[in-house]
Amino acid sequence: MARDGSPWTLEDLIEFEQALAHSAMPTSEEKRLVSASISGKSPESARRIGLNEWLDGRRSGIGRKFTLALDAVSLGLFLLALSAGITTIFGLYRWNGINVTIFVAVVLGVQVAILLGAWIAWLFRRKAGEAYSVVQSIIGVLARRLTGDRESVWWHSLITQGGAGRRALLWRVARVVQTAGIAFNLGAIAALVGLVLFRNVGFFWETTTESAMRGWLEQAVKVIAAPWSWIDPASVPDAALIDATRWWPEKSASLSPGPAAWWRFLLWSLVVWGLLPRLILRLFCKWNERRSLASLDFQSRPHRTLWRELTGGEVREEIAKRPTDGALVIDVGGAGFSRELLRPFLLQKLRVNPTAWETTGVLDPERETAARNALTDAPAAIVLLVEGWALSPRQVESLLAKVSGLKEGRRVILLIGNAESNGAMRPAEKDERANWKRFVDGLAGSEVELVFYEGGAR
Amino acid sequence: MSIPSFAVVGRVNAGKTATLATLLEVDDNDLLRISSTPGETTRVQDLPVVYQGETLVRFLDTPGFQQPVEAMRAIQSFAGSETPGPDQVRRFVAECGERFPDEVRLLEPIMNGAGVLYVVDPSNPLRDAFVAEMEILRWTGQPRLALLNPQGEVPPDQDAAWRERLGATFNLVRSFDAHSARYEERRRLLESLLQIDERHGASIRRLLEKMDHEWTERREQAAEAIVDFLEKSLLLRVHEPLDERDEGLPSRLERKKAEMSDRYFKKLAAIEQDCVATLLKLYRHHLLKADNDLSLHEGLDLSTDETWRKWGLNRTQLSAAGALAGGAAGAVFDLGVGIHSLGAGIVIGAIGGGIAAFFKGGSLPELKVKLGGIKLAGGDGRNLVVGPPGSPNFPWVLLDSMLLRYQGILSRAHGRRDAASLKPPSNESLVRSLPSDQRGTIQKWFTSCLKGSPDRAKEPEVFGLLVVMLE
Repeated sequence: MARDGSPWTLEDLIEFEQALAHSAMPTSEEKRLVSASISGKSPESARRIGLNEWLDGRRSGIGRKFTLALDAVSLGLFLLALSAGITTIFGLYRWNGINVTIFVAVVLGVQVAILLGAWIAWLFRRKAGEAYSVVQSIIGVLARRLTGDRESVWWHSLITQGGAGRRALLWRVARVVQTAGIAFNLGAIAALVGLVLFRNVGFFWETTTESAMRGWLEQAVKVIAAPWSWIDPASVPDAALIDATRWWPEKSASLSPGPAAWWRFLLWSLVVWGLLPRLILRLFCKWNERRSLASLDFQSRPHRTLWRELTGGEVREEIAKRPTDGALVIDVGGAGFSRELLRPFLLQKLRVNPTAWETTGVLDPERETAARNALTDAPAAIVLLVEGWALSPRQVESLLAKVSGLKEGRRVILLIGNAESNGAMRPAEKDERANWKRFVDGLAGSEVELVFYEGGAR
Repeated sequence: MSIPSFAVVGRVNAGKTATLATLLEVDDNDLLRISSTPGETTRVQDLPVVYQGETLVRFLDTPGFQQPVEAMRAIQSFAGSETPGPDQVRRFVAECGERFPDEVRLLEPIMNGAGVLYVVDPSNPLRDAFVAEMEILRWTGQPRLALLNPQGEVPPDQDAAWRERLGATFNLVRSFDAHSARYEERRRLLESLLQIDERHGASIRRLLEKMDHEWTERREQAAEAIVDFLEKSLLLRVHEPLDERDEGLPSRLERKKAEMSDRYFKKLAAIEQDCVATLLKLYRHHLLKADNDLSLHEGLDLSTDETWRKWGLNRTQLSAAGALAGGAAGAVFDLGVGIHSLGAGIVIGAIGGGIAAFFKGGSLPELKVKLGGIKLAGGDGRNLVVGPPGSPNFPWVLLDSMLLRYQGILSRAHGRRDAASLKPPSNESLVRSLPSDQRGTIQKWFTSCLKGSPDRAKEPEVFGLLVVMLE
């Protein structure tokens, strides 16, 4: 669990998810700032601090909008629940009296049932969708609608990623529900106190059964009043009082106010079993939200990717420069010399690497582009392979003239040898060599290298 | 501050280029040519190590020594009766280019300040020519590191002779097999440069730091790719609407199932190849290719019985992992009923999960086939859904196969130029050696994926475990 001096709020978290969903690659300035902010920090805290730094440059205000919207929804719910509490109590006030069993069942029983349902929902929280309960889900939708952000990309990110971010968000929404619960109980307490103070209220209970309900009520009163019975024993109706306040049809006209033990019992019940649990739960929600925010580790897949982009980039550049010994080899006359067999000679004796093989045609004007392309990978030399017997001065002069227009600083090598049937080269005859020497000597100003194939390479 | 540079020198065919190819992870033969033809390197090739536009170290591939004894004599002749030194070598470089073109080319960068990485093949006997090379390199006066790069069987006494001779002439002697060196060996080699060249210690240390960072990042990206592969594979289903005629005729239904199964495995293979291709790219392997031909597919052949026996968890482990996952599900039930079940949920879940895994774990990859949807009046019928295999071992087989191929990628040196298909160094299952708590964590995530809704909260934990497993 990551705990450090970099507090994250729910607003930050929402801003962060929104920025992440809409972010381009981090800029070098952002990387620099993040790098500076995490310098010397422990790996556990570095991510929280660094991502907070990144967020500072990308805030859109959506987090604040959402929390304000949530506050507005919370206020609305507070007022609604407050009036619901008041009207519930007034709804229970009939014939100048309040039926205590119905009061307990409706005002407290329903709340306990809701809390029980919420507890079960919490147990299955991993399976929960967008909230721990339907009410919370509606609150989430309302708050998002109020922000005007219809897409709510951040919401879906937080919900689908799960983990501490989702928990923080859902606990915040749950807190709104507990606030409403508090309001309901405050409303109910206020209404009950108001009735007792300003109206002539009699408390009674009724049943069709002879004794079953009576026994149950006696037990229920004992259990409900257990938390405060030692502080205020007068607020626990005893068996005699329970008997005395049973409502009989013939007594209905004469329902007298009180007794005080009943209204004190109901007031205590509202405080202890209605208001107090809600207050505790609200504190629990707040504590859990804080705890979740403190445990944010930003380890989900999009977070990891962003973190790598921010702190990474330590990728060694690929070697791109090719060797500079490439040569274009042109088979003059198409003797069909084997590339494999001739390659060792070219490498070891001429110290060039044949990267492109062509026949004479490549030098034709219409194939000039092909020639230029072939030369791209051949910065070192142009090698003309000519058979010893095939010295045709005009043809070779013409070839050399074409080559000189293309060579751009490359060596021009005339490699002379005769072709074997398997594509190998064999040395030229003595008189053929003499003819080639005379011919090359006669080329005024030429930089052509005349090489006779001697073999010896492997 | 000047950039440290190191010339890689040695006899023709000693493996200089292969050493550099492995060190710098270059398997493109157009960039660094490696072959059995002697003299393949004809001139000095500059190979800078660049991070974010900054060159930290420069390596220089050089042509090999061709006439070392003659060159040594030529240098000695410049010194007369005295012992030759850098001045005489410098003069040799200036004056003897015509007669000793290769020696001059390789000595030139050294005389311009480059350190020496002398590569020798100790499977060759120590001859005078080698001694001449060592002497010439000693006379340069530059920091020198000798690398033993065996290309064949080395008799122990020959190895000792080499080490003794090299030890007398070089600042440091190290072994480096260019055809099998992994990251740790490459790093050690670079670390050795610190010992021979203190002047550039800061640059070399920064290089090591950046390399480590890059390596860690690669491992994380590899783990991302594997998590992604697993998730996609486990979520994979083939859907097809089923019309009334298909439902009515069993033979047609069977044919359809067979055809859909075939499509399922093809899609699975494509997902898997994507992952392998990502891993190859991450580790700069361009020569190795992820297999595309299913019939040549040497990796994960799920249709063979052997795959299911050798990879994945064994029955006991599978049962334990199943029990753990079942127990966790049962615990939720227990909590749901306020522990009134007295832990029965955990017990039943664990037993059920364990038994199911035990009996189904060894089964062949029978694909799950489901008929889904509601047949509406006037509609085309229901949906047939095929996949994934019913065996609980399926995700473990997937993970194992990918981990083994990852090992294969790591152990493949870039100095090799054969385009053989990717083979792991061993076929031993890797997931079987995982601690049981880690298996349990991974199993829970697998289960969520197989159910169609991956547990995103659990995924970072699985990712973290994978990063450790890839180390």
